[in-house]
Amino acid sequence: MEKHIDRIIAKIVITLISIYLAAPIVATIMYSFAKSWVNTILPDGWTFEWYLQLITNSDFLSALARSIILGFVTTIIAMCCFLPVVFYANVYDESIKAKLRFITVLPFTIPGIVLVTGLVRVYANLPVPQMLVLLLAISLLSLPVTYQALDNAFIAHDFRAMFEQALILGDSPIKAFVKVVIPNIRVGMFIAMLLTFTNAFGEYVLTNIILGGNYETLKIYMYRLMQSNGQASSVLTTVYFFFLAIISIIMIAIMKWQGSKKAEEVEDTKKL
Amino acid sequence: MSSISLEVKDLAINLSGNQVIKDMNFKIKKNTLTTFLGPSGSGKTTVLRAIAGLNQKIAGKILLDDTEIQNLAANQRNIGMIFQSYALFPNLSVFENVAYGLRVRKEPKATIKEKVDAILKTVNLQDKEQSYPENLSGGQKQRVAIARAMVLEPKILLLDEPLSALDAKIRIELRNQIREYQQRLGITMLFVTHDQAEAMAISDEIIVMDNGKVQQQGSPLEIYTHPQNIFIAKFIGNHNILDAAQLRSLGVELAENDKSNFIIRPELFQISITGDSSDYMAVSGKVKNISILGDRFEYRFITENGLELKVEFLNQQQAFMIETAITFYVKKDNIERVGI
Repeated sequence: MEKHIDRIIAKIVITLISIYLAAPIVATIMYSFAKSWVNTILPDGWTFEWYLQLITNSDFLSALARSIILGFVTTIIAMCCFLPVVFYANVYDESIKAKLRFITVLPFTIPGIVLVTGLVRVYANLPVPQMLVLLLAISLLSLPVTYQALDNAFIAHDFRAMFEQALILGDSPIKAFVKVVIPNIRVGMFIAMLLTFTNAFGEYVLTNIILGGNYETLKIYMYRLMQSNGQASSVLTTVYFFFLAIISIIMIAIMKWQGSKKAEEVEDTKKL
Repeated sequence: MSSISLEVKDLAINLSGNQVIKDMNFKIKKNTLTTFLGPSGSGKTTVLRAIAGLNQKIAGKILLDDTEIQNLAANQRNIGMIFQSYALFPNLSVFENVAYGLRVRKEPKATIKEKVDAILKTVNLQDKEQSYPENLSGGQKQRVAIARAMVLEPKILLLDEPLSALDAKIRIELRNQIREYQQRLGITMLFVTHDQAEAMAISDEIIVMDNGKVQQQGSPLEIYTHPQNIFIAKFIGNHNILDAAQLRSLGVELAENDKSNFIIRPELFQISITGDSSDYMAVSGKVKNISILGDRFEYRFITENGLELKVEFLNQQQAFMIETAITFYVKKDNIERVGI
């Protein structure tokens, strides 16, 4: 009987929390489709007008393009910087992994504003383009997620032996890396790239302070829009929400696929 | 043409400031299977990696078919290597794994197909060429690794403990398979293991290593019957090791200043003598313990003066019971003098 009551209480609590979390999202989505929603429980009618307005707005399209460029370039920089390091740590010198782990949590412990102030002061008098400073800073901020995703990719196989085997079979180190290592960590790399991309795509603090109005990304545009047009801003929020949801679904699907593949491998091995 | 495939001269290797290999010298004959045998940390794999070119910070010379190779990169040595994990490329099919080195050499497609098909047939994997490594058994993986190495016709094939992760029954099956391919294809193989039985079973020659040095090189029988020092005697077999005083206490006459150590192999004890009794050392005592090893019995035997000896007999007769009083005999010629 007591157990039954506990279960009911747990269900009520979970339902309330779910409603609390889902209500703003549902309201924002509804608001983005509402013709008008003032002093009524539900909107007066539904429309796609705000969406049409948004996708034909040149400011929005420019901001979207900037965010995508920022995301892509940051992802490329992060991969070029971190992938060789993670490879080296996993294949040749596991002892540096503890130090790497410490470094990767630093972006969590240093607040963005402190990082930006430091970067601006260091590079203010140097002939380094502000855009480059921003790209490197965002790449660094994505380090915790990028490192973890890449590091996990190296667990599955004996990469040292595979890499050295490719050398013995006649390949150069770079070709061996490209032909043997990369194809076998592609799933982990893809997840790391998605995480780095979404991190950079949604970045606000660094971009706003370092480049400010000179480089209006989607997030900065979103904040500007919130102050002038609530409905357009809810449309943008909805679009942004679904964009992130799709990326999350892709990642979950990949992880599930990997899990089922591993289970199949275990079954196959048992059969042999 | 020289009968020596590989020669290592004055090899020394430093790792992280420690000299792990010291003035090592040995030769390996063509078309033989030679085993590096030694405990963990003795430097076996380090030497193998140096031969393969995976560790180039070395002093000394490595000659392959009379040509110095110590300064060549791994991809220029024409040496095959099989790793403990086999290191098959999971993203490539069996065919593509085997064809990998041929593609690197930019051989024509028709030649690649012909060579890969032929070697897969040799290792009985022609029906698995489209399979991926994840779908192969341990034995099949090993055969793919051998085929991948052999298709390039390397001058020598190095095997770095390829059986150590497997259970006992499969190990025996696969080690026999390796030996069969070595003999059938006429390959020079250098095989690393820490398992004495494995080394004895498949080798033409064994190089016993310890502490970064070659302790002894010879045929399995030679190493087993005439170990050069106590380390080898302890490592290679289950020998009884006695000092001069202990042997004297069993009635063997030795010079007073003789400080040597001696070994007596447990299987050389007899329960009766044939011929002249003065040729034998008789040891009386009691059976303390018996281990049944399937094909033979191993006894722990306490002599009348308190020495413990190991004695083995084939499982052909009723075993002696514990506390049985008995006299064993061993031919004095079979008591082997060893260095320290």
